[in-house]
Amino acid sequence: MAYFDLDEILATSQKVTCKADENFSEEILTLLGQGRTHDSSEHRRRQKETKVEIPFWLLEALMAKNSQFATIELPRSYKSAFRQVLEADPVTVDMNRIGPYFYLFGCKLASLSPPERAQLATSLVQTFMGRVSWVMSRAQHSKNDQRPNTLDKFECRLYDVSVASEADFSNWMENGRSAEVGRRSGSKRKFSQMTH
Amino acid sequence: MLGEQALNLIKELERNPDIIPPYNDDLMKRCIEEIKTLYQQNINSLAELNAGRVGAEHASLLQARHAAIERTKRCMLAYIYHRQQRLKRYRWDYGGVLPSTIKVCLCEAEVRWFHEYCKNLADFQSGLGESGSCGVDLTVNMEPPKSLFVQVMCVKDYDEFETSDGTRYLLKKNSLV
Repeated sequence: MAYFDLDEILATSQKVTCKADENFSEEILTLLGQGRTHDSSEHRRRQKETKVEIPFWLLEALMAKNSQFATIELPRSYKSAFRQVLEADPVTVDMNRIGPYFYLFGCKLASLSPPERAQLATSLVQTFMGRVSWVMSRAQHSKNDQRPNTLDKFECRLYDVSVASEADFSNWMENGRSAEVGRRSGSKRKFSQMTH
Repeated sequence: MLGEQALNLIKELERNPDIIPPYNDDLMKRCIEEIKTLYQQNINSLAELNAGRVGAEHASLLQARHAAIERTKRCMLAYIYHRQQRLKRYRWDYGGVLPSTIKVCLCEAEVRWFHEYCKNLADFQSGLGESGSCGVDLTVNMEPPKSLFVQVMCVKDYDEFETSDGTRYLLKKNSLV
């Protein structure tokens, strides 16, 4: 149900810088509240390759009709400089600060064929792989710790599920059925019956 | 800002996970107004485009307005959907009576929906089990049973029954095993 998903809606509301061609009407910027005041004679003569900043959902809709519409410029946290930082040590990066929807938004960006798309995709996977073991070990070994606040929303959910599963499991080990099963299976059959 | 009002609805839901915040009638009305305005502007622009009074770059403006309408619609629908899901979970967790603290947070349509849902659930539950009995209350046992064995009442005489692990049971009508 991605249509109704709150995380997707919030992630796609982030703004993206891109270079739009001359078919991009200035009035769209006015609608967005970024309108520049200039006299109407300049209205048609837009420079090609002017940078505009529009919300991602709008970009996606406009590019669906015309994929040549704009060239996306990757946001700072997905550029090659930052990618190198992520490659060096993914665990210490504060995901919450660079954007709480890092993975989701990265996937969405990649789907629009930006430049360096392959590197972006690889970087997302590598970052996640680098961080997931740290997130899981924090979740499973620190019972009373607060959730670290350097996590992306996706990692937060993973952390919460992990903690809940770990609590359930240790509960089951100590109090639950496992103890009874152990007792029963010990006495289920007498040796004499088994040799029949 | 385009789509800003609608996004506030979503942010409100995000700020209060799991509980049902008061129904934001005002914001919903403003979103509807925004949709109507954009739609009207689009109709006018389309007329002008067809008459040739404006250039082709207006097509992108039309698309942008339409995208904004779709976006606002999506946010409003997601708002209603998530509230409905939370209300549904409330029925399963706490039963069919709405306390006034919750009722005051819901709009009329939601209250009506809740009553309909409870009625549907009650009808369904009464149809389960044997005919003539008052049915099964599904909301009572929300987790699977922890024990390996379950008690059954025999309806027919069967004499002796041997299970795969060697235990013998005597099955007689109306006895509990």
